[in-house]
Amino acid sequence: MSIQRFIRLLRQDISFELRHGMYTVYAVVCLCYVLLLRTLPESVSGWVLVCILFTDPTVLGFFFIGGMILLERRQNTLAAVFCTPASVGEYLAAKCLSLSLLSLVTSVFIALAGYGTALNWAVFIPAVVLASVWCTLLSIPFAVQTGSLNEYFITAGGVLMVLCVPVVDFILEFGWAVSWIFPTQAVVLLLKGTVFTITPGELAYSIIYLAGAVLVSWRIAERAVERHIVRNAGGGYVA
Amino acid sequence: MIHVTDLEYRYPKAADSAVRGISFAVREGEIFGFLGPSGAGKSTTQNIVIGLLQGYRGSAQVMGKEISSISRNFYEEVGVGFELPNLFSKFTALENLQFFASLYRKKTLDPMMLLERLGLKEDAHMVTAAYSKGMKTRLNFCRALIHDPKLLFLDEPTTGLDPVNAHTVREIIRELKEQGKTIFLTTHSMLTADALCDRVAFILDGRIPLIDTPRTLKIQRGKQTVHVEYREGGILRRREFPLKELSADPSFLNLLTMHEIETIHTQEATLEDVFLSVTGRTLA
Ligand SMILES: Nc1ncnc2c1ncn2[C@@H]1O[C@H](COP(=O)(O)OP(=O)(O)OP(=O)(O)O)[C@@H](O)[C@H]1O
Ligand SMILES: [Mg+2]
Repeated sequence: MSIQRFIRLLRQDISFELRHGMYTVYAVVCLCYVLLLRTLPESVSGWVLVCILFTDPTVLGFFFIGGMILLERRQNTLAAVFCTPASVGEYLAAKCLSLSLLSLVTSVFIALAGYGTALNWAVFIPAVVLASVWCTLLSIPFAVQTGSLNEYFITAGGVLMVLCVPVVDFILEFGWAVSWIFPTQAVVLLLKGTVFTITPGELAYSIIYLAGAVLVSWRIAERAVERHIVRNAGGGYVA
Repeated sequence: MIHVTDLEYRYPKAADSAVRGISFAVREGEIFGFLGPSGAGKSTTQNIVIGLLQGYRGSAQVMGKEISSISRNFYEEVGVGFELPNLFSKFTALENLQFFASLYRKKTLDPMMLLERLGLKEDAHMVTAAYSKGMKTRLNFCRALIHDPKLLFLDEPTTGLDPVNAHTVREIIRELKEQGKTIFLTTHSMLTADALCDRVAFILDGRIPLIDTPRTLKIQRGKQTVHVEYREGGILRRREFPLKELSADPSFLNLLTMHEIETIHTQEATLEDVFLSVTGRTLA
């Protein structure tokens, strides 16, 4: 892993996102969130903030990584990147960091502008970063093999829906035991912790579970890129 | 530079092997042409040799190392120009080259100089989405050269280029050879192959039936005759003479002195004829 090359890939990803208009679209979304939070009465705005902060890194990871990889595949740039000393690991790390930075900036903005400073920031920041990195990595195996954006939304989107079980549980306060199976439960707990409270046990569970989920999805994403991008990089063959 | 022995490759889930036991060697400093009909296994072989396709059988050594065990640093000295352009469409030509150049540790070439060489200097600040097909092909060629690699793989570098640009590309490839670079050239253009390659290999159905210099191939497969076109009383006439003992052939000498000669050609085969006869299709 070369830090210099990683930074170069990161810069490229950020300009790529910028030039494809991703930041513009998301700025509008963020403003809508802020307006929504401002109009809500104080009794519910905390709960809504947790939900919005949940969708921010997850949905961002999901939509943006899907869009980016499908664009890169269409522009056929990956073959060229993987015929340089750049490795799949550096590629993934740049994608994850560019999107988690964006996610961090937007969620901090939403929280500050829509809610205020009375939050547990020490939990907030790892929650957003881990959730964003995990969702980005989780979406990659879908993004590298689906043929179109629609197919991607159906497959990866389906998985994302299933992963929302803990969010439903949180909103409706069912207290489902099954929620604890989903890594998204860890995200919900951490975000709840930033607005309300979190027990040390919940904190330990969440951080360990999410970190583990990141590691596992990293391995899967790496193999998916090797298999579907690197090996088909030469082109000339349309399946 | 490249040593391939009994190389075999089957794509996952494919019924048949795409490459079926080929062997060839590319010497340092040579331009090696890789020719063959569509679907013969050219890209597959190239992708194995550049380390993208793993899980092959046999051996493929590049710069002294078995390709299955190379590190990422291998690519510091290997340049690959794919058939289809690999360009960021919302970035300018210069930005594309600068980005790719920055991924190498070694000193890279000046992107502007390369762009100028390929007639793209004026359009260096244009996003590549606005480039024409031929401009993209030329820019893609620059991208493969940007880190001044010792070994270059070029897939169809002149396809879709106008004659002037195709000529420039051929000229640059020749200069690279003079600088001591090794070039592995895949192409359907027999003209390019003939003009550039020290040796060519024909690949057919995953096998290599023929490797030799273009010159030898053309002579072996040609007719050993001389074809003369001349005018006799204003009428264009043609005659053929055996190449052997031509200087002692009285009718040939007579023709030379008595008539106005328009063309004289030996009848060696063109590389295209060789291609057609190797692939089992002869010119009608
Ligand atoms: N990714 C792939 N998966 C399965 N089969 C493939 C794949 N790529 C190529 N093939 C098959 O392997 C064989 C060789 O294909 P290859 O792309 O190497 O041909 P080629 O000589 O480069 O042809 P062209 O001149 O058209 O580029 C073909 O039968 C092709 O269908
Ligand atoms: Mg090919």
